[in-house]
This record gives sequence, C-alpha cells and structure tokens, in this order.
Amino acid sequence: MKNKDIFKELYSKKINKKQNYQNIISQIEKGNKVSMNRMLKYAVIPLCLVLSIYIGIVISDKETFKSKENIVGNIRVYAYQTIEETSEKRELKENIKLELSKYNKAMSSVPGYPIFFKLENIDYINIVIENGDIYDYDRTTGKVTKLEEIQQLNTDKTLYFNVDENTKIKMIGIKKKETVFEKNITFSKDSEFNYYALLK
Amino acid sequence: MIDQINLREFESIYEETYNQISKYIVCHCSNLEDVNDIIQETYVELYRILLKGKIIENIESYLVGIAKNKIRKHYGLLYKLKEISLSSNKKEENDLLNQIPNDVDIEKIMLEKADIEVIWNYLKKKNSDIQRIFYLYYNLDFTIKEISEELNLKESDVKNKLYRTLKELQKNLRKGL
Repeated sequence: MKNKDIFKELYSKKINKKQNYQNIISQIEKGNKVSMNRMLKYAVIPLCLVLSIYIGIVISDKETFKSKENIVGNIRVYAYQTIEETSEKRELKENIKLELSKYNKAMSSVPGYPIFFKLENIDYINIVIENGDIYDYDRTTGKVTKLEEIQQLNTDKTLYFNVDENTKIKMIGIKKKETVFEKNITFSKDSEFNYYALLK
Repeated sequence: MIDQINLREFESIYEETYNQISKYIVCHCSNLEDVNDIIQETYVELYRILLKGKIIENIESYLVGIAKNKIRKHYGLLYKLKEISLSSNKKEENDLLNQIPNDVDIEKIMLEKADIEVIWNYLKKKNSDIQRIFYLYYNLDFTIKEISEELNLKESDVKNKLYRTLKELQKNLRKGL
C-alpha cells in the first residue's frame, strides 16, 4: 500500500466530509430545540419573577395590614389634671405618672375620678376593675349608675372610678375576637393625698 | 424541524465549498483534532445566517471569514502564545533539516504497517506545520511548491519536514509503537 493511500484513508476517516455534514445537521436541529427551550425559559422566568413579586407584595401587604392593625389597634386613656386651677384632660402615657386633679367625693358632683377611653381601630375593650368601683354619670340628668366590675366599651366613653392605692384598672383590647393589647392603670398617693395614675 | 428549502441550498453550498474551507481550517488550526469542530461550527453559523435571509455574494470568502473567527475564538490568547513559542524554535529546526540531502525521494520511505490510529496519534503530537504539510500533501495532493506557498515556508523546509517525519513514523511503526 502506498503512503498516499494510507494517508488518504487516514484523513477520510478522521476528517470525514459526510460525517461532518451529519454532525452539522444535528447541531442545527439541536439548536432549534435549544432556541425553543430558551424562548420558553426566557418567557417562563420573567413570568415567575413577576408572579413571585406579586405574591410577595400581597403577603407583605397582609403582614403590613396585620402590623398596622396591631399598631393602630390601641387605646388612648385620658385623665384629668389640674393646671392653673383648671382641670384639663391629659393623656396617660405609658410609665409616666400623671397627677390627678384633686377629688373629694363629698364635695363633688361626679361619682369618681373621670377617665376617658378613646378606642383606636379596635372592636371593643373590656375594662376590669380590682379594688375599686366603676360608675357611669349622665351630666345632663345628673344620674349616677354603679357599674359591674367588668365593663365592655365599644365606643369612646368617660367612666368614673372610685379608687385607692390598691386599685387596678385592666383594659383588654379586642379586635376580630383576638386580644390585641392588655394595659393596666394603677394608682398611688403621696403624703398630701394627691393621687397619681400610671399606665402600664 | 429544519427548513427543507434552506437545507437544499445549504447542502449545495457545503458540497461546493468544503474542500477549500477544510483546507483553510487545517492550515490555520494548531491541532488536527480541532479541525472537525471548527468545520462544523463554521457551517452551522452559515446556516443560521442563511436562515435570516441574508444575501451573500461570495459564499466562499464569507465562509473563510466565519472560519477565521471560529479559529480565533477557539484558541484565543493561548494560541497566540503557542505560535510565538513555536516560531522561536524554527531557526534551530531549520539548521538540523538543512543537513538532509535535497535529492531524497520521500515516496521511497514506505510505511510498512498501516495502522491508522497509530499514525494519527503520532501526527497529532507533531507541530502544526508538519500536520498541515501532511494534510496538504497527502489529502489534497498539493505539490511541495504549492505547500510552500500556502504555508509561507521554503520548499526545502517542506520537503525536509515531510522526510524527517516519515522516517520517524516508519521507525515507530517497525518498533510496533
């Protein structure tokens, strides 16, 4: 066998025209499939992205709403303080003692210390008193009504409390049948018989 | 599915241009092993271009351009460095080769055992000039002169490289390697 024949055979096997053509065609066909898959991928991925963002927004909105509900589901409590001989409504801030206007049951037309409850985004509050009394007072008629130790308020209202140092007023906020908060008002007295209210 | 009309046109272009393009690729690749891949990549690229409806006046030149880019991408910086290191040995190699007589008949160096795989593996290890020379000489029937023009080598260098490689190969085949 001549060298030329040997090498011709070598190159026809190793760099084969027909084989190369077949490989080219299968690459083209594969390329078409890859293009379709790529198209789908490029369509699906952005779609999933948009969907996940949408879901994320919805979830976070719900959570934000929930947290908003917790923040807004609150109560503001107001008691009365004497300022320059005038009794003025003052908000009880948490952990800050508020000196209450002097009250003498015998000398006053109201049945007790007035405390105004302002509900914020809450369905109702349960007020429970320990070691004291709750009264309702109609300013128009002057009628005083002693109330039960547990009262449910679903609107803003002033209630009147007969208190001493052992009195505790518990406020439980309810929203959609769930307890949203629990707060307490306690009372203390100084040597001059001035009463202080503390919200916790 | 491939467009059948485009495929027929493509097949005809392939038939007409294959020899020239494969020759170009062999002469510009640093390794015979890479030739098939680059040939295929070149024609796949052409098909994609034809599919887009591009009108090409000189298909062969266009294909050479594609092949050039494919080779460049295939080898990158490594290729350039390799080419530089090869050329630095050329002078030494030429000095050795100059010792071989000019009237040596290459055809008289017969390879007794024609083991294709052994020959292929042997050639793969040789430098790119030798691989190209063998391909052009034996596969495309180029003369020594034509090869020297194609590869920008001296005729004596082409002949000497052929002779030396064949002698080595003959020796290896006799040894059974």
